[in-house]
Amino acid sequence: MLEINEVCQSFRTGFWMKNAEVLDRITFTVPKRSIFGFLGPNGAGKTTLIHLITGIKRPVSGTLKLNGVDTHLAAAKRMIGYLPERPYFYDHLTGEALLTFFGRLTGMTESEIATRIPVVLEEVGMTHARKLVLKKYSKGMLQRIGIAQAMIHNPEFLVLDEPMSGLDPVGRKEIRELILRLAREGRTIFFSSHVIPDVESICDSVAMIRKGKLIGCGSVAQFLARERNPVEVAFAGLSAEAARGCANFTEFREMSEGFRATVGSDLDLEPALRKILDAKGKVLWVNPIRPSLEDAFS
Amino acid sequence: MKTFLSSFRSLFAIARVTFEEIILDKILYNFLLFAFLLIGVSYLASQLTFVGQERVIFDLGLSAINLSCGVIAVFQGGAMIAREFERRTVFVVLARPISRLQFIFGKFFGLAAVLLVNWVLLAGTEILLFLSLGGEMNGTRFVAMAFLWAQACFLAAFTFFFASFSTASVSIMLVIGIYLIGNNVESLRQILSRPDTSAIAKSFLPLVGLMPNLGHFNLGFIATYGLELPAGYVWRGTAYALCWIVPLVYASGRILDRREG
Repeated sequence: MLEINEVCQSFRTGFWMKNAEVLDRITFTVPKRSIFGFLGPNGAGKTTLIHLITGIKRPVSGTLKLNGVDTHLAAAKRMIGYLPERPYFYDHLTGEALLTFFGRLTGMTESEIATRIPVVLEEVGMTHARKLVLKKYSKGMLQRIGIAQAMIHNPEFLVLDEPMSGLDPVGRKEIRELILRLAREGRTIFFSSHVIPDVESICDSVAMIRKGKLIGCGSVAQFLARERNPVEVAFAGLSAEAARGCANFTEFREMSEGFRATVGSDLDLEPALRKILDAKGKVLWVNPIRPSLEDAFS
Repeated sequence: MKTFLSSFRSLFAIARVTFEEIILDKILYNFLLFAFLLIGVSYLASQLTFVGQERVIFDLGLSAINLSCGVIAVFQGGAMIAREFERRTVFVVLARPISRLQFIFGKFFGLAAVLLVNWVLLAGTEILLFLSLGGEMNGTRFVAMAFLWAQACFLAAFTFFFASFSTASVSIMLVIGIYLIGNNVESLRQILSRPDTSAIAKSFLPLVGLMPNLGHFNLGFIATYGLELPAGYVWRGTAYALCWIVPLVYASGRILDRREG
């Protein structure tokens, strides 16, 4: 679907117009009908790459092709829907007027726009606010109308830049469900975020950049796959010395109710539990520690 | 043909949103109110004279229109481009199949439409006041008023140009400089052409020739007395305005192409 090949981008900054490299030979492919997570800390170059993908800017070198078409060309732009990081739209417009505006910019006819508006508003759950001006929208509503404007021309490829930033837990959950629903409709979603659990929870594949360099790319399962996972055990009823001697713990700390310790893998769990119980200790809980993308990329 | 129509619709959509955005800006009404007050003052000032009251009204009215349209062009034009980048609205628009040139021309047409509405309101009031005091409205006087709109568009184009590579405040200051120089190009040329002018000062004469000459839009006493216009004056003035406006707006779009935001 999207092929990014050896893309470099640099800007001229400061009084002496010094060249600052922002992206360094980025290469990866976004498969069709997938939710692709794009991770990186703030300032890593995520938004710059998104501007290249959406055709807002052109790379200094390298190519970006969407279904074989250069992304800065109008034909590619018609296939892309884009939600920016901070969706500050023209706030004097109503939700409906905003969608009409973006529909016109994409080259849709008035009848096509009129047909699509109720559909996308329904899809993002914003039908009730269609006549309300954007300056009265909450952050969550702005994200939703932002997604609606990205979908107005029914694109097959959606680029969502930090769609959950600034939202409360309920808002995040709603947006997450909306993204999953859009993916089920067969769209490819490019989901940029600096919050790893957000990406982990919904993405099939993931790429990570740091300081403009790609540091990893592949399926989420590939990154999370491990032979053995550590397990956390909480127990009480023993002295600190006896507790420490129960197993070869990789982590150990005292808490008010007892002790909290981690064994290296599930193979070490059973002997550790047996020793605790033999020493008349009481097991409070056992919690397998699931690997995260944070571990994979750290 | 279809592509052309689609481009035109995109351009019109941007112009319309720009127009609505400025029209809803409260600052605009302050400028407009100020201009109406100036026209009101022109009526009071005309009462201080026994002869040529309508000429006083006309002259001061022209100044009010000039000031109001000019201020709106410069301040709104300067802030508009900066605001697009600050709020990042420009990027959502440019992610659509439109070019930066279409975007900048759309913005310009939106501002020009606001200037036109402002001009219609003020010129309409001015004409009514002028006629009520027994003045005679003729083609020359109308052209003098219309050229104030052209001049405002001219200043807006310069503001766009400067705003495309600098901040709003710097572009506003530069355009004020252009306005002051542009209204004095003829005087500068006369001073530098005098025989007693030093050679160093005379070397600046070609530079003066490159400066925009806003004198083309200022009919002065010809408008005040309603005299006949020189032949081809309207076409020359219009062509002069277009010869500056189109390349300036075009250059703004090209410069924005390289801007990173």
